[in-house]
Amino acid sequence: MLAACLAVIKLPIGIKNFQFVENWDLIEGMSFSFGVDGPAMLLIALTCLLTFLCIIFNGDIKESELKRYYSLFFVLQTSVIGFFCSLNLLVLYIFFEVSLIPIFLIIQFWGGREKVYASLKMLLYTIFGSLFMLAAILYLYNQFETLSLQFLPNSVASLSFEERKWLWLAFFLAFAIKIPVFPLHSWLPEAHVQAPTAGSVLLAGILLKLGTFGMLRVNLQLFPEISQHFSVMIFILGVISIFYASLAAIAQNDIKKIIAYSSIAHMGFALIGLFSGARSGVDGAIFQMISHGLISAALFFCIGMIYRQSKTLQLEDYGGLIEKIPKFGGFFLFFCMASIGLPATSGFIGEFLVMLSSAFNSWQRTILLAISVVFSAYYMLNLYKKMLLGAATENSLQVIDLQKSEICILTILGVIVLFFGIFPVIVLKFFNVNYMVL
Amino acid sequence: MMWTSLMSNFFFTEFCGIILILLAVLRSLFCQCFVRNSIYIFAAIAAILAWHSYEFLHESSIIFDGLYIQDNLSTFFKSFLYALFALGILLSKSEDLVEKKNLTEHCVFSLVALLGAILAVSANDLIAFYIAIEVQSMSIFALLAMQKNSLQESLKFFILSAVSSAILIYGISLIYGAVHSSNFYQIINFADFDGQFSLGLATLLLGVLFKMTIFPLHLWAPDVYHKTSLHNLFLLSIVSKIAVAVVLFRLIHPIIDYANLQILLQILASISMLCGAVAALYQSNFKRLLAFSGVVHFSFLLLLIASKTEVLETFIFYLITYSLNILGILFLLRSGSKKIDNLNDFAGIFQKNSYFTLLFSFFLLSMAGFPPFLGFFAKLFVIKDVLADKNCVLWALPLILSSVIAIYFYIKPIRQMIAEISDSQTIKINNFYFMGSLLIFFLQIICIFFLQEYIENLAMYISTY
Repeated sequence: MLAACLAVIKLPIGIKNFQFVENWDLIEGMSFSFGVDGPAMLLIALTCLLTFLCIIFNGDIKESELKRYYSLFFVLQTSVIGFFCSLNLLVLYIFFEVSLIPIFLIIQFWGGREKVYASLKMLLYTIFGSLFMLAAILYLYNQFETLSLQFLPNSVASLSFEERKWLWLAFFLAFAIKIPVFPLHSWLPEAHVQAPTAGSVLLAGILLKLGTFGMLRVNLQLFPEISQHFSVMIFILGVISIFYASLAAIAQNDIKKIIAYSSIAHMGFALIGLFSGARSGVDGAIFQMISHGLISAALFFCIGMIYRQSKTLQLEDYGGLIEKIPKFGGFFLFFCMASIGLPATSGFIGEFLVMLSSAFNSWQRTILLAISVVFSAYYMLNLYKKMLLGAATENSLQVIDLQKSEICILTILGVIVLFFGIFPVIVLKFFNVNYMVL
Repeated sequence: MMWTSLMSNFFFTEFCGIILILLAVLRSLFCQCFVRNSIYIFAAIAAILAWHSYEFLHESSIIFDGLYIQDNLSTFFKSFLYALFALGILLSKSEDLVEKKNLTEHCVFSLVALLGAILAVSANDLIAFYIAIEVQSMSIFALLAMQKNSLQESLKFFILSAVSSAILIYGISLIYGAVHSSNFYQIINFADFDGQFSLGLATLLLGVLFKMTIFPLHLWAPDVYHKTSLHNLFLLSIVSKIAVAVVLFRLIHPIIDYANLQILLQILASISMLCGAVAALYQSNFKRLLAFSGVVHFSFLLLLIASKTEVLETFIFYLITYSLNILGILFLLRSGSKKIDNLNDFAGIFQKNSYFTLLFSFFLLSMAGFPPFLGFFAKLFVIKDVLADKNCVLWALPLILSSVIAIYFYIKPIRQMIAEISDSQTIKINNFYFMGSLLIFFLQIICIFFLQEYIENLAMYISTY
């Protein structure tokens, strides 16, 4: 983590190209080529931060299982970082798939009752999509004999429109399942409910970002015209995704499911921003990715801290927690507000920028997005109300307040959320990369 | 002079194989003692032969009036088969399915099966191919019959393979009637549209695809695999299939343009891989699951053979990957003290031996084609070669679908090992076999880095018609 922080500082602000490029040929057409740009660097820093916090947060793991716990998290971290900095499509694909194994095992080892079903569903959904991506990658390889993301953008333009459309759709399918977008989302809530706390944190905080980041790297950079061509379709898909997820979140009874659905809604914003065709949209989407990574991770940590003691995720088992555990209440309120998008938290900036970009296209779109924020306010505040206010239930009385390490985790996340919310310019400078879509 | 040159290079390996068999027969006649160690001796000799036949790489010749061919394809697979055999024969060491007193006969028959496979990979003529395949099937039949409690399986194998051989020889005679030659070279150059030739080819394929366990002709495999010993499983699922696949590649790939052959094989392969994958979902026995996974793998290979692009390198890569995976799994199965047969037997192994679980999971994921294991690269090259022909892009779809289904059934044992809890006694691991499979796994890792380049060199010297 320290190394990542140093790298972030070292990275010259306002870079135009990939930094720290390393190349190492493995087999024909597949070279391990790595390099980072601004968004990748920030996401890597986020990954390292969240893994670090997950390692601190290991309270409910048995002593004998700690070794396994740590090693799985480090494998996950490695594969995700590998994904963020690979500049070769095949390497990107390999890391995309490899990151599934540790999260699958994390759910298998420390998951809930339905863990087998949930983890298999996650695995099969993702692999189904990513195999289409593999086919698309190999099609590109057969055409151009190279898979380097540095050289491909120039050559892809020589393909016919029809071909590019199908390739784009193949990549989109793989990443859309990972994000997840509305009709392909059903693996996420179940995986979240069954996963242990740290697993949920990484799933929401990092693994969902693989999808949006993949779209940024591949769909936007390789096929800018096609992305423009499909932008209306994606807007519709994104809006459906947001509304559906918000309504579903309102109807849920399971705390983790509410936050899982809110993740889908937030990632819908990122999706719309990415393909809005405006600078501010892409900026907003990347910002949204990072802020969602922080906020949803914090929310899952909060839930985990409560769940550890009371062993229930049902909403009706809680109530009146605020009197028993005020510190927790404070943090939880803050992160709920950040999730809704309160100004001065990072959640606001991302959503604001995405709405701004949609205003360039038409004001009706902006209104649609603005309405969806109201929904998110409803379900988050409802969650807060039911858990912390009202009459105390039996469960709530047994809960004790946060310990020092837990306060430490939440404070770190809270400070960063506030900082990004108040000084977004510092972060936005990182995004000053040449995306050809603009 | 011809005879000496013949002995000096080409037929030498086969000759040595025959000597080895004679040796085994003599052993069985004269010294019943030292039976235990004889397996190691055979393994060592097979390893030496593997090394020796490898020396003939990059030499090519055709002998016996075009009956046999020596090129890199045959030489490589010869030495590869010897090397596999050197490992595979170790599986039969004190295996409880093999009665002690039969051990030497067991060695003899498995050597004969190996000889059949080795003759088949260098066959350049339908007759030579037929003889090689028959030698192999007969000895495998004898091996199956020597096991306890498996008379039904061995008879099933015998009758069905006899029928398929009959169909095969019928097809061969039809082709001979049309082409007036049974030589591969003549047949490939004939490639003229002709009813008799088409019928002959179809019948021939029927026989060959039976041996390769492609979909409508695959049902014997799970039944035969089910109760057989691990060593016989090795012969059935690796040695015999490699032999048939190489011949199919030699004969069918060059004439894939002929009439509707390509589309026919593609449809067959697609249906086969989907059916194999779906059927594997419902298996509760691991060996049956292996049989169906073989169906899926060889349908991939059939799809590869049926594409018009240059597929030789991928073909070799895929066969190597497949055999290393299966061999590794067989070694691991052998290493458990408890018999691991049904999927339920896997339950809770993780608590008792995490290294076993880890290695087993790696092999299964490799079989499933999950990156970053070797199996992934094999699948990658297959998809790449299938996509290289722009008219065949849609055939990647069944490949993808069956891979997704395959992931599910390969994950099943892993899930059993990790998630389930069993109260049975601890499982002891035989270190010898465990180390063997560990060795194979390291070999796979090395293969990821160097195999493709190596095969590229190899393929430069392979003559295609």
